Amino acid sequence: MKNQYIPRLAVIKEVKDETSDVKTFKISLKDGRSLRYSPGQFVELTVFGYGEFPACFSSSPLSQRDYFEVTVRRVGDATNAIHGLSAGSIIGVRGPFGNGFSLRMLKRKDVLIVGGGVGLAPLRGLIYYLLEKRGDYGELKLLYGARTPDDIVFKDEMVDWDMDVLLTVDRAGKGWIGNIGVVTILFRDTEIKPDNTVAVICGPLIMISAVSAELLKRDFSEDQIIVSLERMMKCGTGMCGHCNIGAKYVCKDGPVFTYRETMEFLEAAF
Amino acid sequence: MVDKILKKKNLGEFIEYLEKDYAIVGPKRKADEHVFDYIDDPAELALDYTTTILPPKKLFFPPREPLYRYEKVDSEVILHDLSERWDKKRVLFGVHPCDLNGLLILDRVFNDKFKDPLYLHRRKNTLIICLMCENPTEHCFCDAMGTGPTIEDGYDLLVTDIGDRYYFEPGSRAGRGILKWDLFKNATKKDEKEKEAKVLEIKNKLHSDFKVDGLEGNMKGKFWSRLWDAHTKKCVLCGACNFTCPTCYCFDVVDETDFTGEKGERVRIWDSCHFENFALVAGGLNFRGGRIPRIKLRLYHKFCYSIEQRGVYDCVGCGRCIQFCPGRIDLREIIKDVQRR
Ligand SMILES: Cc1cc2nc3c(=O)[nH]c(=O)nc-3n(C[C@H](O)[C@H](O)[C@H](O)COP(=O)(O)OP(=O)(O)OC[C@H]3O[C@@H](n4cnc5c(N)ncnc54)[C@H](O)[C@@H]3O)c2cc1C
Ligand code: FES
Repeated sequence: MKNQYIPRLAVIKEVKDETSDVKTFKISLKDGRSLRYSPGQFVELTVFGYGEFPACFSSSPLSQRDYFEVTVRRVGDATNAIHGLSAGSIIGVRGPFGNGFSLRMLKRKDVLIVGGGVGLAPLRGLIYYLLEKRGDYGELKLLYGARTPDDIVFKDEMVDWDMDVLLTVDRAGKGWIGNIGVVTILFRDTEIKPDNTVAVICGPLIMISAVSAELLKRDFSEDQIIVSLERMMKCGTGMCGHCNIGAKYVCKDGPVFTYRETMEFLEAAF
Repeated sequence: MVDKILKKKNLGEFIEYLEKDYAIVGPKRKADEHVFDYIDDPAELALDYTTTILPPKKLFFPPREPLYRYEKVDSEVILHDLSERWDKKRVLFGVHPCDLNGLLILDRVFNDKFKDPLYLHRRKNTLIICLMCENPTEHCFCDAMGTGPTIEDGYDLLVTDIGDRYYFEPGSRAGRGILKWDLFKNATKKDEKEKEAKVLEIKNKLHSDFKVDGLEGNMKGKFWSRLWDAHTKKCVLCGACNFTCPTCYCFDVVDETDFTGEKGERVRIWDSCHFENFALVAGGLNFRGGRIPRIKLRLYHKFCYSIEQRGVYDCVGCGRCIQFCPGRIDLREIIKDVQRR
């Protein structure tokens, strides 16, 4: 039986600065194979000598086949270490893990995507996927909030996304003429109706809870709200016990849940 | 195959016979307590033990275990699998039914949707000789959990002490194979009667005064109850209950790197959900920063979440968490309180 704790070796192909503390890494497996994954799933990345950390795919498995991307914010040992690496560096990859977004649930629906901070990473993978299969989905809309204009990730790509994109920042800097305030203020500027719509949220806990409250107020049902959650993770395989919320393991049963599912957890999900 | 009898005076010879094909692990004296350990001399095997400090999980899921080694050579990385591969099988001799039931629960954890190769290798290559427990301690409540004193499956051989003889029942093909050895005699009707009498005698030593029927539902209903504050006041969050528990399986994974940073090992070590940083993520957000949520997590995992995860309670009533708790917290009192209110 294979020792599943041993990562597959992979090479960083390209590094792109998104913001001062967020970078996107383009990664290929060293053996030339491609990872089969779906949007919303995640990998465990190892920076040898520094540790392992979970990160969601920020790429789409459709068009981007011989590599995948992750977008990582620098916050601790392993994430700082990967920020120090450049093209050609060897890292370790375990996974994919997790359930990912239920694409079947989104089919022929309008999709309202709400992201905060680096939480846009997995949503970017989803967005590319939906755009590549544009005909299968209804109207697409992104509401995104970042701390400051400089913290907006994927800024240069967003303009090309064939969908409504609304941005806001907590604190504006010089030259910002857009919205200021938490992401829920964007609800004022655009029509958001529950009919035939599914909302997908990823970001800080407080944002998830504010946005879902707002959606429920607008008559979204608990099944129309999908959230991607974060917890401490060590194994990714439902064994180490670290990522549980009540009886669920976020690594194995999640990280994507419907709002209704989270209501059944005994502990608070967000 | 009929059950078999082995005279006690032949036990040493039996162990030596097993040693030809197997390494032997069993209960061994250590100061005033017992531990599971490798047996070099049959005389070390202390089958009259009551309980061990650590349950047998340590033999399958060690407290610290290397997973792999990495080495950076030039700009490449070389990985070496460090999972153990045994060339000799092992016999676990003398495990009690409660502890064996603990292993059966761990089997469900490590052999679920994902498989843990390290645990499963050891499990597959260990024969289990289960011993009917004669001396339940004041902390035992296997009778309430339904995990003892008798056991239906999970063993290769089941042994009951009936005075000057051992009564052997096979539970697997490997067990039946061992019973073909010369010194085993067929059990007679009289032997069987004596064994049954012994089992009855053991059953009569256990007197748990509570039931766990409906416990899962009662736990669910009491998640926000004040009873948790009262019962957890004396907890010092030391993790002793986790480490001595036959079914606690949480672990941490860390890199142990040498000073050059060029090579190191990734190891897993037992962890405790009572420790402050168990659910702490980068950025300082702690999903269970308070003590009560952490203590509750363990209890809910044992008696509520486990039912959803595995269909069984993750507790076998071995009593170690009560025996080793520095705050003298008695799990039975907590269960009774949940069941009562
Ligand atoms: C399913 C999932 C997907 C994620 N996707 C992304 C992403 O796409 N982009 C991104 O920037 N961040 C993501 N994160 C958060 C990211 O994993 C943490 O920021 C990272 O683990 C911090 O590791 P560190 O070693 O730098 O920090 P340290 O604080 O030094 O952490 C050390 C250890 O704690 C663990 N750890 C610390 N924080 C977290 C955390 N928040 N979640 C899980 N484990 C943690 C690490 O695995 C590591 O073993 C994701 C987290 C999860 C659970
Ligand atoms: S990360 Fe180990 S159980 Fe989920």
